Amino acid sequence: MTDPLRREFGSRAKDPVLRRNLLRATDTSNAHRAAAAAERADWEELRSRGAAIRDHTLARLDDYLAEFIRSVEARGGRVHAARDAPAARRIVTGIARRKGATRILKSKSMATEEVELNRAFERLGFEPLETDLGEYIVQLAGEAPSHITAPALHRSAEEIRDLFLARGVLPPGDRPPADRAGLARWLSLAARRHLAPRLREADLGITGANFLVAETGTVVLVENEGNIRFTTTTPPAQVVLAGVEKIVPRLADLAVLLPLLVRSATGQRFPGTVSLISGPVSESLDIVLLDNRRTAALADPGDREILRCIRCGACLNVCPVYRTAGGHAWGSPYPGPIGSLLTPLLSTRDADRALPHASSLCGACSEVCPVRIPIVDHLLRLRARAAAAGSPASPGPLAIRVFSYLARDPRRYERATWLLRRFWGIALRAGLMKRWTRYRDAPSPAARTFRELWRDDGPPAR
Amino acid sequence: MDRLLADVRRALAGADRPELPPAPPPAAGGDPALLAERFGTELSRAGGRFLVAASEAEARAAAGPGAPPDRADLLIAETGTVVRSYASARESRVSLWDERCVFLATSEALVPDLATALARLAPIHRAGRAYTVFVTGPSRTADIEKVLVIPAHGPRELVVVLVRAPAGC
Repeated sequence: MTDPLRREFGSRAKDPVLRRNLLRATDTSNAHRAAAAAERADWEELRSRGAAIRDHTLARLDDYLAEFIRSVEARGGRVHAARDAPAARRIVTGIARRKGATRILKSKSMATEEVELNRAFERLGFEPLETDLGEYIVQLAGEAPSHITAPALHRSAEEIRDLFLARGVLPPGDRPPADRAGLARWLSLAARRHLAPRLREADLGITGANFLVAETGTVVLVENEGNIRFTTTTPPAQVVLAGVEKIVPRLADLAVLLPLLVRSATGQRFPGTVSLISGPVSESLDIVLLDNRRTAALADPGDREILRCIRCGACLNVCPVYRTAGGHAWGSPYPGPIGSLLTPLLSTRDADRALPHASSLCGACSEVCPVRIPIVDHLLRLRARAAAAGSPASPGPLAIRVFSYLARDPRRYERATWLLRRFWGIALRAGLMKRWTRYRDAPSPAARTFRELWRDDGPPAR
Repeated sequence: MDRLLADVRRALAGADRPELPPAPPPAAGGDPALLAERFGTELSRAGGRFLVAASEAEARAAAGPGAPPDRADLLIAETGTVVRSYASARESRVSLWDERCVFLATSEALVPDLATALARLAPIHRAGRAYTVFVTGPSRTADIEKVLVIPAHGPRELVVVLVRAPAGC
């Protein structure tokens, strides 16, 4: 890992409250996911089907995108292409301005996080209301979401209680119960009451999309809280921002992809609510298709495989690095193992190319991925790509060059091992090895080398 | 838009193009009584209430006071899911804005699984504008410490009444 990366992950790993919150939440999610996967006898076959549908679609995305656009336009909806994040912000805020919209409802969407849509709105003087409870919590706290499907997973109920008291979601003097489950319930219901009037009067609704169906121009939205239904039915105008890779060919494909998504994300048999929206069902529908380097990723068969991702978040929950440092360490809307792959593909920041190093390569992510993305293989591939591009600086190659120089000559090698044994203890005591020994042992070299043993004692007895 | 399509086309020039696997076949019809039983079990598991009534009048009485009930188009037995297609978003508020949401359905609405439900919906969505919701239980959240809380923003209570005799008779 590079130094900035080490700081981001290292400092968070030392926060005991964060650590406890992360373990509690991800342990629960992992147990639910495992039970939901075990319950379906055809789970492995379903994963293969899901992977095949995604592969097929991505390889023919030109045809399916064209079909999707035709289908939406035939129903009276408008489709826009956003080449990058600034273009996406310009298009969406432009629509809001033309509609004269000031009361904006927003549902949780990774694409809107990716383009930092809310900041663009704040610069114009209004704040879209995040209607998903977890997203509302991080919005109140002025934070970024730390998980793809559970944005406030890094916060304890006590922290959220203090936030709600400070921001007036709980009336002053309110005395919520102290036990964890009772408190979580109290806070969730307080947010429901607080937001109810605002959900029933609005000018514009902005959502992402879980899937976009080519044959029918359908926007598919998955949720549990009912907030997406408010976002898509209260305001007269609806805007959808989604990555171009969200396309699936037919409605029938949802019979494979929805169970994969929801069982992996929350362990439910079916989501609380799924909405299928074909064309403008209120006054207007604008769908903004986000490229932001996705088409460049399509050109490489390996990178294309990463775009299979259906954003369930299962790989985050099982990842030991995520469970230790939390999602904010990635500094990207896409954290965790899949974030270490997606972020370098979608971002232009140099530092993000080091993210594939934020992994122990244990392979838990590849095992749970519902669309069988071989995440570990791609982490290694992107590491190699970053190394070939000369960034980030890694001590590995230099160490190998030094070793190879010493090992090529027996006398040189002997002298080096003598020096090493001589000064090893001094180096350790002087703290020169601190960056290594902070997390690992530094075993002392043997008192006598193999060559000395051979020379002095002769060959070992049979 | 043309530029996006051209970019995608260029990126995929020469790519391997694997075939689309056939859609999983919808399950066979099944005995309505068994489907109803399964639906009821799954709905209660999801926190909803399942009632059976002999007539629509009895169903309305069983559903209790409050907003007029909505009609369910399909009931998915496998997951206890109500499927309802609306002509407009505004019309759909009937199953969202109130504390209590009641759906009436007849046994023709029962289908075994999601694949069958999607096959039935496809013609509606192919024909033009359509807004379909799949509702499984009352609204819920687990965003605070993974503690399941009902309700979230939507209805607090979901009741499905299966009317034995065809509606309107």
